[in-house]
Amino acid sequence: MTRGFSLVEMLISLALMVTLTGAVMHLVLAGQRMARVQPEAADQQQRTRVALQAFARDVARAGAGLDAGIRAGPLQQFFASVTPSADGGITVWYVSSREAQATLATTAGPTIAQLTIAPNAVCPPAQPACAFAAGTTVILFDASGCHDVLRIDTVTLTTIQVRAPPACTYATGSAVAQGEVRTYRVDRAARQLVRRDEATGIDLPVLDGVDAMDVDYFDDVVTANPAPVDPALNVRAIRRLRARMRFAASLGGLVPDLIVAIDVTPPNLVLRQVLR
Amino acid sequence: MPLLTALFATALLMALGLALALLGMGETTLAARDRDARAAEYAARAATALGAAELRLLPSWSVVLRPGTPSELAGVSARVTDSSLTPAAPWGGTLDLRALTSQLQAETDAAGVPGDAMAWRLFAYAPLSRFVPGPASSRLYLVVWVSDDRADGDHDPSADTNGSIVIHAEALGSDGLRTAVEATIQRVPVTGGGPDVVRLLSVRPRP
Repeated sequence: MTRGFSLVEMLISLALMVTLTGAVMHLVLAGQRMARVQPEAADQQQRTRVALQAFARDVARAGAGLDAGIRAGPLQQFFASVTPSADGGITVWYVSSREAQATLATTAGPTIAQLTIAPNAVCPPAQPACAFAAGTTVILFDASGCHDVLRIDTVTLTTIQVRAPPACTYATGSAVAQGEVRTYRVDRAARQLVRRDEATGIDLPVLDGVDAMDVDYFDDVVTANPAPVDPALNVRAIRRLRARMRFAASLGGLVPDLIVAIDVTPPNLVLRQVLR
Repeated sequence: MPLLTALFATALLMALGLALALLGMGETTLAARDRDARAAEYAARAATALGAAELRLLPSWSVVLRPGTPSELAGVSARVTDSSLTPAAPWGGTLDLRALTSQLQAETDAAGVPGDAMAWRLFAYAPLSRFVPGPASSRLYLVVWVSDDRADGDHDPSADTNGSIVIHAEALGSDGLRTAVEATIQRVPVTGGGPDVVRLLSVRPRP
Protein backbone atom coordinates (compact mmCIF):
# COMPACT_ATOMS: atom_id res chain seq x y z
CA MET A 1 0.00 0.00 0.00
CA THR A 2 1.41 3.37 -1.02
CA ARG A 3 1.86 5.84 1.78
CA GLY A 4 0.81 9.47 0.99
CA PHE A 5 2.36 12.76 2.15
CA SER A 6 1.60 14.00 5.58
CA LEU A 7 0.13 17.47 6.12
CA VAL A 8 3.42 18.69 7.60
CA GLU A 9 5.35 17.53 4.52
CA MET A 10 2.86 19.25 2.23
CA LEU A 11 3.09 22.50 4.19
CA ILE A 12 6.89 22.46 4.14
CA SER A 13 7.06 21.81 0.40
CA LEU A 14 4.48 24.53 -0.25
CA ALA A 15 6.47 27.01 1.84
CA LEU A 16 9.66 26.11 -0.01
CA MET A 17 7.95 26.57 -3.39
CA VAL A 18 6.47 29.92 -2.44
CA THR A 19 9.84 31.17 -1.15
CA LEU A 20 11.68 29.99 -4.24
CA THR A 21 9.11 31.40 -6.66
CA GLY A 22 9.11 34.71 -4.77
CA ALA A 23 12.87 34.96 -4.96
CA VAL A 24 12.86 34.19 -8.68
CA MET A 25 10.09 36.71 -9.34
CA HIS A 26 12.00 39.35 -7.36
CA LEU A 27 15.06 38.76 -9.53
CA VAL A 28 13.01 38.87 -12.71
CA LEU A 29 11.29 42.12 -11.73
CA ALA A 30 14.60 43.73 -10.74
CA GLY A 31 16.09 42.64 -14.05
CA GLN A 32 13.13 44.03 -15.95
CA ARG A 33 13.50 47.36 -14.17
CA MET A 34 17.21 47.51 -14.97
CA ALA A 35 16.47 46.67 -18.59
CA ARG A 36 14.04 49.58 -18.70
CA VAL A 37 16.23 52.09 -16.89
CA GLN A 38 19.67 51.38 -18.32
CA PRO A 39 18.92 52.19 -22.00
CA GLU A 40 17.34 55.46 -20.86
CA ALA A 41 20.38 56.28 -18.70
CA ALA A 42 22.73 55.41 -21.57
CA ASP A 43 20.69 57.56 -23.94
CA GLN A 44 20.80 60.43 -21.47
CA GLN A 45 24.59 60.11 -21.24
CA GLN A 46 24.99 60.10 -25.00
CA ARG A 47 22.70 63.10 -25.51
CA THR A 48 24.68 64.88 -22.81
CA ARG A 49 27.92 64.22 -24.66
CA VAL A 50 26.51 65.52 -27.93
CA ALA A 51 25.16 68.68 -26.31
CA LEU A 52 28.37 69.38 -24.44
CA GLN A 53 30.43 68.79 -27.56
CA ALA A 54 28.34 71.26 -29.59
CA PHE A 55 28.51 73.80 -26.76
CA ALA A 56 32.23 73.36 -26.12
CA ARG A 57 33.19 73.55 -29.81
CA ASP A 58 31.38 76.85 -30.22
CA VAL A 59 32.75 78.30 -27.01
CA ALA A 60 36.26 77.16 -27.97
CA ARG A 61 36.04 79.40 -31.05
CA ALA A 62 35.20 82.45 -28.96
CA GLY A 63 37.39 85.43 -29.58
CA ALA A 64 38.91 84.34 -32.90
CA GLY A 65 39.56 87.63 -34.64
CA LEU A 66 41.07 89.10 -37.77
CA ASP A 67 44.09 87.54 -39.46
CA ALA A 68 45.61 90.75 -40.84
CA GLY A 69 45.46 94.49 -40.61
CA ILE A 70 45.78 96.87 -37.70
CA ARG A 71 43.03 95.09 -35.78
CA ALA A 72 44.45 91.62 -36.26
CA GLY A 73 44.35 89.30 -33.28
CA PRO A 74 41.78 88.19 -30.75
CA LEU A 75 38.50 90.09 -30.50
CA GLN A 76 39.11 90.32 -26.77
CA GLN A 77 41.53 93.19 -27.49
CA PHE A 78 38.56 95.31 -28.50
CA PHE A 79 35.50 93.92 -26.74
CA ALA A 80 34.40 90.97 -24.64
CA SER A 81 33.88 87.97 -26.87
CA VAL A 82 32.43 85.83 -24.06
CA THR A 83 29.66 87.44 -22.05
CA PRO A 84 26.81 86.33 -19.83
CA SER A 85 23.49 87.00 -21.57
CA ALA A 86 20.55 88.72 -19.90
CA ASP A 87 18.50 85.52 -19.97
CA GLY A 88 21.04 83.53 -17.97
CA GLY A 89 22.95 82.08 -20.89
CA ILE A 90 26.32 82.73 -22.43
CA THR A 91 27.06 84.61 -25.63
CA VAL A 92 30.16 84.01 -27.73
CA TRP A 93 31.53 86.07 -30.62
CA TYR A 94 34.05 84.88 -33.18
CA VAL A 95 35.24 85.59 -36.70
CA SER A 96 34.60 82.39 -38.60
CA SER A 97 36.25 83.03 -41.96
CA ARG A 98 39.90 83.71 -42.74
CA GLU A 99 38.96 85.29 -46.05
CA ALA A 100 35.85 87.47 -45.57
CA GLN A 101 37.60 90.21 -43.61
CA ALA A 102 37.63 93.85 -44.65
CA THR A 103 37.36 97.42 -43.42
CA LEU A 104 34.69 100.06 -43.93
CA ALA A 105 35.38 102.42 -46.83
CA THR A 106 32.75 104.88 -45.59
CA THR A 107 31.12 105.54 -42.26
CA ALA A 108 28.22 103.42 -41.04
CA GLY A 109 25.70 104.07 -38.32
CA PRO A 110 22.18 103.65 -36.99
CA THR A 111 20.63 105.07 -40.15
CA ILE A 112 22.87 103.32 -42.66
CA ALA A 113 22.14 99.71 -43.58
CA GLN A 114 24.53 99.60 -46.53
CA LEU A 115 28.17 99.01 -45.69
CA THR A 116 30.76 100.00 -48.26
CA ILE A 117 33.84 97.89 -47.79
CA ALA A 118 37.50 98.20 -48.63
CA PRO A 119 39.37 94.93 -48.84
CA ASN A 120 42.10 94.37 -46.32
CA ALA A 121 45.20 92.25 -46.64
CA VAL A 122 43.45 88.91 -46.33
CA CYS A 123 40.60 89.73 -48.64
CA PRO A 124 40.78 87.51 -51.75
CA PRO A 125 41.50 89.95 -54.59
CA ALA A 126 39.30 88.30 -57.20
CA GLN A 127 36.24 87.91 -55.02
CA PRO A 128 33.31 90.40 -55.12
CA ALA A 129 32.57 92.02 -51.76
CA CYS A 130 35.64 90.37 -50.27
CA ALA A 131 34.01 86.92 -50.14
CA PHE A 132 31.08 88.13 -48.02
CA ALA A 133 27.87 86.36 -48.96
CA ALA A 134 24.16 86.94 -48.55
CA GLY A 135 22.57 85.00 -45.73
CA THR A 136 25.68 85.02 -43.57
CA THR A 137 26.53 87.00 -40.46
CA VAL A 138 28.92 89.90 -40.25
CA ILE A 139 30.62 91.36 -37.17
CA LEU A 140 31.41 95.06 -37.21
CA PHE A 141 33.75 96.58 -34.62
CA ASP A 142 36.19 99.39 -34.01
CA ALA A 143 39.05 100.26 -31.69
CA SER A 144 36.74 101.98 -29.19
CA GLY A 145 35.05 98.68 -28.38
CA CYS A 146 31.84 99.34 -30.26
CA HIS A 147 30.61 96.14 -31.87
CA ASP A 148 27.55 94.93 -33.75
CA VAL A 149 26.36 91.73 -35.30
CA LEU A 150 24.37 92.02 -38.51
CA ARG A 151 22.78 89.76 -41.08
CA ILE A 152 23.72 90.21 -44.74
CA ASP A 153 20.79 90.42 -47.15
CA THR A 154 22.62 91.16 -50.40
CA VAL A 155 26.11 91.94 -51.59
CA THR A 156 27.46 93.85 -54.59
CA LEU A 157 31.01 94.30 -55.77
CA THR A 158 31.90 96.67 -52.94
CA THR A 159 28.85 96.91 -50.70
CA ILE A 160 27.02 94.78 -48.17
CA GLN A 161 23.33 95.39 -47.56
CA VAL A 162 22.49 94.36 -44.00
CA ARG A 163 19.04 93.57 -42.64
CA ALA A 164 19.19 96.25 -39.93
CA PRO A 165 21.66 99.10 -39.45
CA PRO A 166 24.25 98.88 -36.66
CA ALA A 167 23.58 100.44 -33.28
CA CYS A 168 26.95 102.21 -33.11
CA THR A 169 28.43 104.76 -35.45
CA TYR A 170 31.54 103.44 -37.16
CA ALA A 171 34.23 105.50 -38.81
CA THR A 172 35.98 104.64 -42.03
CA GLY A 173 38.52 101.90 -41.38
CA SER A 174 36.42 100.01 -38.82
CA ALA A 175 36.67 96.25 -39.11
CA VAL A 176 34.08 94.06 -40.88
CA ALA A 177 34.35 90.30 -40.82
CA GLN A 178 32.21 87.25 -41.37
CA GLY A 179 31.50 85.66 -38.02
CA GLU A 180 29.05 84.09 -35.65
CA VAL A 181 27.45 85.38 -32.48
CA ARG A 182 25.61 82.69 -30.58
CA THR A 183 23.92 82.50 -27.23
CA TYR A 184 23.43 79.23 -25.38
CA ARG A 185 20.69 79.27 -22.75
CA VAL A 186 18.14 77.00 -21.17
CA ASP A 187 14.47 77.48 -21.99
CA ARG A 188 13.04 76.43 -18.62
CA ALA A 189 9.46 76.16 -19.87
CA ALA A 190 10.40 73.84 -22.72
CA ARG A 191 13.27 72.27 -20.72
CA GLN A 192 15.56 72.67 -23.70
CA LEU A 193 19.12 73.80 -24.25
CA VAL A 194 18.70 76.43 -26.96
CA ARG A 195 21.19 78.14 -29.26
CA ARG A 196 20.20 81.59 -30.47
CA ASP A 197 21.72 83.17 -33.55
CA GLU A 198 22.11 86.78 -32.46
CA ALA A 199 22.15 88.06 -36.04
CA THR A 200 18.66 86.76 -36.73
CA GLY A 201 17.26 86.14 -33.25
CA ILE A 202 16.33 82.61 -34.27
CA ASP A 203 16.41 79.95 -31.55
CA LEU A 204 17.55 76.48 -32.41
CA PRO A 205 16.91 73.68 -29.90
CA VAL A 206 20.08 71.74 -29.16
CA LEU A 207 18.86 69.24 -26.60
CA ASP A 208 15.64 68.30 -24.83
CA GLY A 209 15.40 67.51 -21.16
CA VAL A 210 17.79 70.17 -19.85
CA ASP A 211 16.54 71.78 -16.64
CA ALA A 212 19.19 74.35 -15.89
CA MET A 213 22.57 75.74 -16.88
CA ASP A 214 24.82 78.01 -14.89
CA VAL A 215 28.23 79.33 -15.85
CA ASP A 216 31.15 80.43 -13.71
CA TYR A 217 33.74 82.73 -15.25
CA PHE A 218 37.43 82.76 -14.37
CA ASP A 219 40.28 85.12 -15.16
CA ASP A 220 42.89 82.46 -14.42
CA VAL A 221 43.91 79.54 -16.62
CA VAL A 222 46.72 78.23 -14.44
CA THR A 223 45.12 77.43 -11.07
CA ALA A 224 43.26 74.14 -10.93
CA ASN A 225 40.42 75.49 -8.81
CA PRO A 226 40.37 79.24 -9.24
CA ALA A 227 37.77 81.50 -7.69
CA PRO A 228 35.09 82.68 -10.12
CA VAL A 229 35.15 86.31 -11.13
CA ASP A 230 32.16 88.57 -11.45
CA PRO A 231 31.76 89.03 -15.22
CA ALA A 232 29.90 92.27 -14.58
CA LEU A 233 33.10 93.80 -13.22
CA ASN A 234 35.58 93.02 -15.95
CA VAL A 235 34.11 90.96 -18.72
CA ARG A 236 37.21 91.28 -20.90
CA ALA A 237 39.30 89.53 -18.27
CA ILE A 238 37.45 86.23 -18.78
CA ARG A 239 39.86 83.51 -19.84
CA ARG A 240 38.08 80.35 -18.90
CA LEU A 241 34.59 79.21 -17.98
CA ARG A 242 32.88 76.32 -16.31
CA ALA A 243 29.37 75.44 -17.43
CA ARG A 244 27.17 73.18 -15.36
CA MET A 245 24.08 71.67 -16.90
CA ARG A 246 21.39 69.74 -15.10
CA PHE A 247 19.65 67.13 -17.19
CA ALA A 248 16.14 66.22 -16.12
CA ALA A 249 15.25 62.97 -14.42
CA SER A 250 13.20 60.62 -16.54
CA LEU A 251 11.05 57.50 -16.25
CA GLY A 252 9.32 58.94 -13.22
CA GLY A 253 12.57 59.49 -11.37
CA LEU A 254 14.01 56.05 -12.03
CA VAL A 255 16.82 57.76 -13.97
CA PRO A 256 17.95 60.52 -11.61
CA ASP A 257 19.00 64.07 -12.48
CA LEU A 258 22.35 64.21 -14.20
CA ILE A 259 24.57 67.20 -13.45
CA VAL A 260 27.54 67.67 -15.74
CA ALA A 261 30.22 70.35 -15.56
CA ILE A 262 32.59 71.22 -18.37
CA ASP A 263 35.58 73.56 -18.31
CA VAL A 264 36.42 75.40 -21.52
CA THR A 265 39.47 77.59 -22.09
CA PRO A 266 38.93 79.23 -25.48
CA PRO A 267 42.41 79.41 -27.03
CA ASN A 268 41.84 82.84 -28.53
CA LEU A 269 41.25 84.29 -25.07
CA VAL A 270 44.62 83.13 -23.83
CA LEU A 271 46.82 83.70 -26.86
CA ARG A 272 50.23 84.84 -25.88
CA GLN A 273 50.15 87.79 -28.17
CA VAL A 274 53.86 88.05 -28.73
CA LEU A 275 56.41 85.26 -28.80
CA ARG A 276 59.88 86.65 -28.23
CA MET B 1 5.98 22.97 -13.02
CA PRO B 2 8.61 24.47 -10.62
CA LEU B 3 11.33 23.22 -12.95
CA LEU B 4 9.73 24.96 -15.92
CA THR B 5 9.32 28.17 -13.93
CA ALA B 6 12.94 28.08 -12.87
CA LEU B 7 14.14 27.38 -16.43
CA PHE B 8 12.00 30.15 -17.85
CA ALA B 9 13.14 32.63 -15.21
CA THR B 10 16.79 31.68 -15.77
CA ALA B 11 16.47 32.16 -19.52
CA LEU B 12 14.77 35.53 -19.05
CA LEU B 13 17.40 36.71 -16.59
CA MET B 14 20.18 35.57 -18.90
CA ALA B 15 18.67 37.51 -21.79
CA LEU B 16 18.29 40.61 -19.66
CA GLY B 17 21.82 40.24 -18.32
CA LEU B 18 23.22 39.84 -21.81
CA ALA B 19 21.36 42.92 -23.06
CA LEU B 20 22.65 44.96 -20.14
CA ALA B 21 26.18 43.73 -20.66
CA LEU B 22 26.03 44.73 -24.34
CA LEU B 23 24.61 48.11 -23.39
CA GLY B 24 27.39 48.57 -20.85
CA MET B 25 30.03 47.69 -23.42
CA GLY B 26 28.50 50.11 -25.91
CA GLU B 27 28.41 52.84 -23.30
CA THR B 28 32.03 52.21 -22.37
CA THR B 29 33.05 52.44 -26.02
CA LEU B 30 31.13 55.69 -26.51
CA ALA B 31 32.65 57.20 -23.38
CA ALA B 32 36.14 56.17 -24.49
CA ARG B 33 35.63 57.69 -27.94
CA ASP B 34 34.35 60.89 -26.40
CA ARG B 35 37.36 61.08 -24.07
CA ASP B 36 39.79 60.37 -26.94
CA ALA B 37 38.17 63.03 -29.14
CA ARG B 38 38.56 65.63 -26.40
CA ALA B 39 42.16 64.61 -25.79
CA ALA B 40 42.82 64.90 -29.53
CA GLU B 41 41.37 68.41 -29.61
CA TYR B 42 43.74 69.54 -26.87
CA ALA B 43 46.65 67.75 -28.51
CA ALA B 44 46.01 69.44 -31.87
CA ARG B 45 45.86 72.79 -30.15
CA ALA B 46 49.14 72.05 -28.38
CA ALA B 47 50.72 71.03 -31.69
CA THR B 48 49.76 74.42 -33.11
CA ALA B 49 51.48 76.18 -30.22
CA LEU B 50 54.57 73.99 -30.55
CA GLY B 51 54.69 74.66 -34.30
CA ALA B 52 54.50 78.40 -33.69
CA ALA B 53 57.23 78.16 -31.07
CA GLU B 54 59.51 76.36 -33.54
CA LEU B 55 58.74 78.78 -36.34
CA ARG B 56 59.62 81.82 -34.27
CA LEU B 57 63.20 80.55 -34.09
CA LEU B 58 63.61 80.94 -37.84
CA PRO B 59 64.83 84.27 -39.26
CA SER B 60 62.56 83.94 -42.31
CA TRP B 61 59.56 81.77 -43.07
CA SER B 62 60.29 81.54 -46.77
CA VAL B 63 62.84 78.83 -46.00
CA VAL B 64 60.07 76.73 -44.45
CA LEU B 65 57.64 77.27 -47.30
CA ARG B 66 60.09 76.07 -49.95
CA PRO B 67 59.59 72.42 -50.87
CA GLY B 68 62.03 70.01 -49.29
CA THR B 69 62.91 66.52 -50.42
CA PRO B 70 60.42 65.02 -51.07
CA SER B 71 58.27 68.00 -51.97
CA GLU B 72 55.70 67.30 -49.25
CA LEU B 73 58.32 68.28 -46.68
CA ALA B 74 59.03 71.83 -45.62
CA GLY B 75 62.37 73.30 -46.65
CA VAL B 76 63.33 73.35 -42.98
CA SER B 77 61.76 70.93 -40.53
CA ALA B 78 61.03 71.36 -36.85
CA ARG B 79 63.22 69.65 -34.29
CA VAL B 80 60.55 67.02 -33.63
CA THR B 81 60.17 64.84 -36.69
CA ASP B 82 60.01 61.12 -37.25
CA SER B 83 62.70 59.45 -39.30
CA SER B 84 60.25 58.25 -41.95
CA LEU B 85 57.26 59.53 -43.87
CA THR B 86 55.58 56.20 -43.22
CA PRO B 87 56.06 56.02 -39.46
CA ALA B 88 54.58 53.41 -37.17
CA ALA B 89 51.32 54.62 -35.69
CA PRO B 90 51.15 54.44 -31.88
CA TRP B 91 47.98 52.35 -32.14
CA GLY B 92 49.48 49.89 -34.61
CA GLY B 93 49.97 49.87 -38.36
CA THR B 94 51.67 52.65 -40.29
CA LEU B 95 50.78 56.18 -41.29
CA ASP B 96 51.31 57.53 -44.77
CA LEU B 97 52.19 61.18 -44.24
CA ARG B 98 52.60 61.84 -47.96
CA ALA B 99 49.06 60.62 -48.57
CA LEU B 100 47.78 62.74 -45.67
CA THR B 101 49.52 65.77 -47.15
CA SER B 102 47.97 65.10 -50.55
CA GLN B 103 44.57 64.72 -48.94
CA LEU B 104 44.89 68.01 -47.05
CA GLN B 105 46.10 69.72 -50.22
CA ALA B 106 43.17 68.33 -52.21
CA GLU B 107 40.68 69.48 -49.56
CA THR B 108 42.21 72.97 -49.59
CA ASP B 109 42.20 73.17 -53.39
CA ALA B 110 38.63 71.89 -53.55
CA ALA B 111 37.45 74.70 -51.28
CA GLY B 112 38.02 77.01 -54.24
CA VAL B 113 38.81 80.07 -52.16
CA PRO B 114 40.29 82.87 -54.26
CA GLY B 115 43.65 84.41 -53.46
CA ASP B 116 47.11 82.98 -53.49
CA ALA B 117 47.32 79.22 -53.73
CA MET B 118 48.20 77.39 -50.54
CA ALA B 119 50.78 74.60 -50.57
CA TRP B 120 50.96 72.55 -47.38
CA ARG B 121 54.38 71.35 -46.27
CA LEU B 122 55.07 68.91 -43.47
CA PHE B 123 56.87 70.75 -40.71
CA ALA B 124 56.66 68.55 -37.62
CA TYR B 125 55.39 64.99 -37.21
CA ALA B 126 55.84 62.57 -34.34
CA PRO B 127 53.87 60.70 -31.71
CA LEU B 128 52.56 62.90 -28.92
CA SER B 129 54.92 61.15 -26.51
CA ARG B 130 57.86 62.64 -28.41
CA PHE B 131 56.38 66.13 -28.44
CA VAL B 132 55.68 65.93 -24.72
CA PRO B 133 58.06 63.43 -23.14
CA GLY B 134 56.86 62.05 -19.85
CA PRO B 135 55.19 59.13 -18.20
CA ALA B 136 51.73 59.87 -19.60
CA SER B 137 50.89 57.30 -22.21
CA SER B 138 49.09 58.53 -25.29
CA ARG B 139 48.27 56.85 -28.54
CA LEU B 140 47.99 60.05 -30.56
CA TYR B 141 50.17 61.08 -33.47
CA LEU B 142 50.64 64.78 -34.20
CA VAL B 143 51.30 66.32 -37.59
CA VAL B 144 51.97 70.01 -38.25
CA TRP B 145 51.83 71.50 -41.73
CA VAL B 146 52.64 75.06 -42.73
CA SER B 147 51.52 77.07 -45.73
CA ASP B 148 51.73 80.61 -46.99
CA ASP B 149 48.49 82.54 -46.47
CA ARG B 150 46.17 83.43 -49.32
CA ALA B 151 46.55 87.16 -48.75
CA ASP B 152 50.26 87.17 -49.47
CA GLY B 153 49.68 88.65 -52.92
CA ASP B 154 52.91 87.38 -54.49
CA HIS B 155 51.28 84.32 -56.11
CA ASP B 156 54.18 82.25 -54.86
CA PRO B 157 53.31 79.66 -52.22
CA SER B 158 57.04 79.10 -51.61
CA ALA B 159 57.74 82.63 -50.42
CA ASP B 160 56.36 84.64 -47.54
CA THR B 161 56.23 88.33 -48.34
CA ASN B 162 53.64 89.64 -45.89
CA GLY B 163 55.03 88.03 -42.74
CA SER B 164 51.99 85.82 -42.18
CA ILE B 165 51.68 82.07 -42.57
CA VAL B 166 49.11 79.45 -41.61
CA ILE B 167 49.72 76.43 -39.38
CA HIS B 168 47.51 73.37 -39.73
CA ALA B 169 47.90 70.85 -36.92
CA GLU B 170 46.20 67.50 -36.66
CA ALA B 171 46.00 64.89 -33.94
CA LEU B 172 45.46 61.40 -35.32
CA GLY B 173 44.26 58.45 -33.32
CA SER B 174 42.98 54.94 -33.68
CA ASP B 175 39.71 54.12 -35.46
CA GLY B 176 39.92 57.15 -37.74
CA LEU B 177 40.13 59.75 -34.98
CA ARG B 178 41.29 62.99 -36.58
CA THR B 179 41.09 66.50 -35.10
CA ALA B 180 42.43 69.61 -36.80
CA VAL B 181 43.20 73.15 -35.70
CA GLU B 182 44.43 76.03 -37.86
CA ALA B 183 46.26 79.11 -36.67
CA THR B 184 47.52 82.23 -38.38
CA ILE B 185 50.79 83.66 -37.14
CA GLN B 186 52.53 86.87 -38.10
CA ARG B 187 56.06 88.12 -37.63
CA VAL B 188 56.55 91.78 -36.85
CA PRO B 189 59.90 93.50 -37.21
CA VAL B 190 61.08 95.26 -34.09
CA THR B 191 61.88 98.94 -34.40
CA GLY B 192 65.55 99.45 -33.75
CA GLY B 193 66.61 95.96 -34.78
CA GLY B 194 66.68 92.63 -33.03
CA PRO B 195 64.79 89.46 -33.89
CA ASP B 196 61.23 89.80 -35.12
CA VAL B 197 58.45 89.15 -32.66
CA VAL B 198 55.80 86.60 -33.59
CA ARG B 199 52.09 87.12 -32.97
CA LEU B 200 49.53 84.35 -32.86
CA LEU B 201 46.61 86.04 -34.56
CA SER B 202 43.90 83.41 -34.45
CA VAL B 203 43.29 79.78 -33.61
CA ARG B 204 40.36 78.05 -35.27
CA PRO B 205 39.30 74.44 -34.77
CA ARG B 206 38.47 72.92 -38.15
CA PRO B 207 35.05 71.29 -38.41
